[in-house]
Amino acid sequence: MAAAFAFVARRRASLQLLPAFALTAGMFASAMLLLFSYSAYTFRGGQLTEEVSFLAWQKFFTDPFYFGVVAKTLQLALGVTAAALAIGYPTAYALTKVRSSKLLVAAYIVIFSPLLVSLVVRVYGWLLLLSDNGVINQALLAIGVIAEPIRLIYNEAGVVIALVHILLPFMIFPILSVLLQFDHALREAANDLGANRVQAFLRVVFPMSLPGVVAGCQIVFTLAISAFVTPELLGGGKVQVLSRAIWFNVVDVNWPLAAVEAIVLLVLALAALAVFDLAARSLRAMRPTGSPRPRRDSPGGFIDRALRIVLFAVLAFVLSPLVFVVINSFNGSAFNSFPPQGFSLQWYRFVLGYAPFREGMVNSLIIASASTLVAVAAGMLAALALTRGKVRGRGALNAFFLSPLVMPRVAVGIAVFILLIRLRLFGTTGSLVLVHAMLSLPFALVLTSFDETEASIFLVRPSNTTLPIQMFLYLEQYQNPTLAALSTLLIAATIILVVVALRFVRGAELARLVARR
Amino acid sequence: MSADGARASDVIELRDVTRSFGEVVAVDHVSLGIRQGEFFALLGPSGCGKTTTLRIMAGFERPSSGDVYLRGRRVNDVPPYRRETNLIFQQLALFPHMDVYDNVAFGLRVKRRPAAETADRVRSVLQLVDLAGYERRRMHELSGGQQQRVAIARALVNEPAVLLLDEPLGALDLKLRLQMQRELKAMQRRSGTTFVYVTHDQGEALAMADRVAVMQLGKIAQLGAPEHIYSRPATRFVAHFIGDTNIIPVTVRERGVDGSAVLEANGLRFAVTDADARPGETRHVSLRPEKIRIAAAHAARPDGHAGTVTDVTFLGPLTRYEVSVGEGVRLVVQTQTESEEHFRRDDRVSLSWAPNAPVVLKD
Repeated sequence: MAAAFAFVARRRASLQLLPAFALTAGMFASAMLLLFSYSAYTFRGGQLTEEVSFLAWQKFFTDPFYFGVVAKTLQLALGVTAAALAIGYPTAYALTKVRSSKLLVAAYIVIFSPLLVSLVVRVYGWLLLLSDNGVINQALLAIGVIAEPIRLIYNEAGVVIALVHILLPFMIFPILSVLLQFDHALREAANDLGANRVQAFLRVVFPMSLPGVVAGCQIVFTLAISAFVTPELLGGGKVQVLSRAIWFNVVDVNWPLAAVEAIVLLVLALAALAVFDLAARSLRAMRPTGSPRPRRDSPGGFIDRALRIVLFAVLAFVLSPLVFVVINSFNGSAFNSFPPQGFSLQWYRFVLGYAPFREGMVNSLIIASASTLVAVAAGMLAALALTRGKVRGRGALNAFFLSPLVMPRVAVGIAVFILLIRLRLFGTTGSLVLVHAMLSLPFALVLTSFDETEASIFLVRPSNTTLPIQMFLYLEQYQNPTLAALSTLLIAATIILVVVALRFVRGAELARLVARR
Repeated sequence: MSADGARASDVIELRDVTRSFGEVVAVDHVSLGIRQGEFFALLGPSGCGKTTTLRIMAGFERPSSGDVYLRGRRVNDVPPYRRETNLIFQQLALFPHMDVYDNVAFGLRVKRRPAAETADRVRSVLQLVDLAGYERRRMHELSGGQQQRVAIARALVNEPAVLLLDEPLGALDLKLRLQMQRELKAMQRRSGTTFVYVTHDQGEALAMADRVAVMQLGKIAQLGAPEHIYSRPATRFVAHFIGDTNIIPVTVRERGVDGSAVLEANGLRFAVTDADARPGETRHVSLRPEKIRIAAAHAARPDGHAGTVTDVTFLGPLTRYEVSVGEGVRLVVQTQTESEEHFRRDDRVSLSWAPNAPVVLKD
């Protein structure tokens, strides 16, 4: 195995790209093409027929409702990207000032913790915090700031808050990665030439960190544009974005219109990728001369104290939904009430006795481990070829590998569902592993491209697979702390997994990563 | 003396400056004054405190104790961006996201100089460093020597009171380094700027500097003109660090009223013209290899010391001998290959030197 791996690694770039290409083409592109072909079928009178027509296209481009949906989708993604940048940049900058390696590791883990927890768990956490009888409203009522609950949820604000929370690591990570490479001598050179701290930041540090900013915005924007679960569960039906339109059309069996919407979404996302890529290319000329000597400068002064406060505020923001999920799991009441009505373990008993969750958990573990292995191996090889090798059409290949990120999971899900049924593979564990590997590949690629293979450990998410579907269905029907208990179990399992993995697999390398700074 | 006590002739003055990092004392009670328009070198091995001294002048390090004066003004609390000094960094630290013009104009722009004045000054400084026509080049499009000149232009355009240079030629290959040494010296003369140049390369310091301070373990071991430091080293460290030398442990036997003395080392007795030492004291003497004359035993001068050649190394224009004299004193002798007699291993020879050639060291 190792020898074969080394053999492939030594071969030309095309061989290194093969696994990732096969995975993306076989599982994603073919499924999407299949879905797209439905855009030429006809949906009439609540019936799907194989009659070829362009009625779906016509409807999409003539009905002003869909124009509004596209506009809302772009507006939401832009807003989320801007907010994530506004929060993410100071956070990344503050992280470069942290000197205590313990605090640094803790901050890393906190910032990346949302990635370790299922999307459904995070959304559930925001429900607990933001709803009318949620933590924030109860707290504000209790201290008498407000007379009745204010609307924090089931509107656009709630969706933006939750999306920023979920996507923040993708903004912080590339910016931090660039800032850590920053040559401290350049800041001193600016100071020496007469620039004070603010001038040095504006004229040297910030312009040089733009490649990280562009990379972060690119990831966040493309993920925000296709977000589904968050607008669906927190938008209260008011945040009408493309992904939700696709979902409803799929449910209505109006697959032709769903296909058209999926194509439009893909085109929008690819256009955004291209624009960000263009921006990144114009910045590529900024290669430093000489070898960079990164160095954290000593904290002190007003700016550093402010940065420290920003960092802790962001850490609290990132952690709070997860913390309240854990607290609520011990709630004695059945109504997610806050503060909790007594201490109880009843929800844990219920979770462990509820067969769909139990089976989902076992399946999830198997599928998550296998698909992570496949995705990380394929992703590392592809990243190697794309960053070190001489590859023609690098940008196009990159966009191709990242395209599963762009598609809403709803669209990918239905497309893969059709594909697997056609191939008579539906329901096999192997096919599920491949599907999840295909979905994880872009993350593996992004992480390894940033030379942070250590971080690919964060891809192992037992909560990322079949179990969340059960949770999603449950959340749509019931509102009691069962999910909190299940989520807490998942968080605990993930923490154990990460700690074990860090200790035995990557412990030395993580230590080196921290020491290198 | 100016109002607050600094010498008016000194552009920059360190007075009893100490800088410690925890337990480590990087700069240890250093006092020195640098004169207007001179090329001053801080010379020493790595870890001797020369770079820290430079960074104290630039304002990147604060002295733990002692004072720094710039043009007669105490600047201990003045941050780098408000000092009339500019520093050329070891790695140059050019801004990679800017072209040559923007790099050079950086200092004037942050000081909000009028655009026309900035353009004028950038143009003339680029002419000075011979980079006219390169304004729109990016840093990675320049050769090592050109990057060097951009760094110098970027500093000189601000017309600093002192230009501080931290081993700026360290990354260059030998040929380019020698060329840049000449260019630096020429630029310094043309601009009339005071240069403080940190280096561990004694050849570089001797070639360029008007005065040299040799540093060891955070202290100044000796300060003076290069010729003086070379011919009259004060300590064993300086004598060794600057050029090749023979260090001979000696005992002072006699001392004359004129300062002359007779010294003895393992059966080798010789006179020196100038020794600040009492009879009976043990000291070390530095004797440069090229100051020793070597002759065949039969042609020995009356003051010659008989010896045997133990090793010969041919160095092209020079030949290097190792000769054993007295009771096992080994001396290195260097001669001009062309103009002097040649000897082989085991030849009997006679060594002699002028009485002012040996330097009695403080230690």
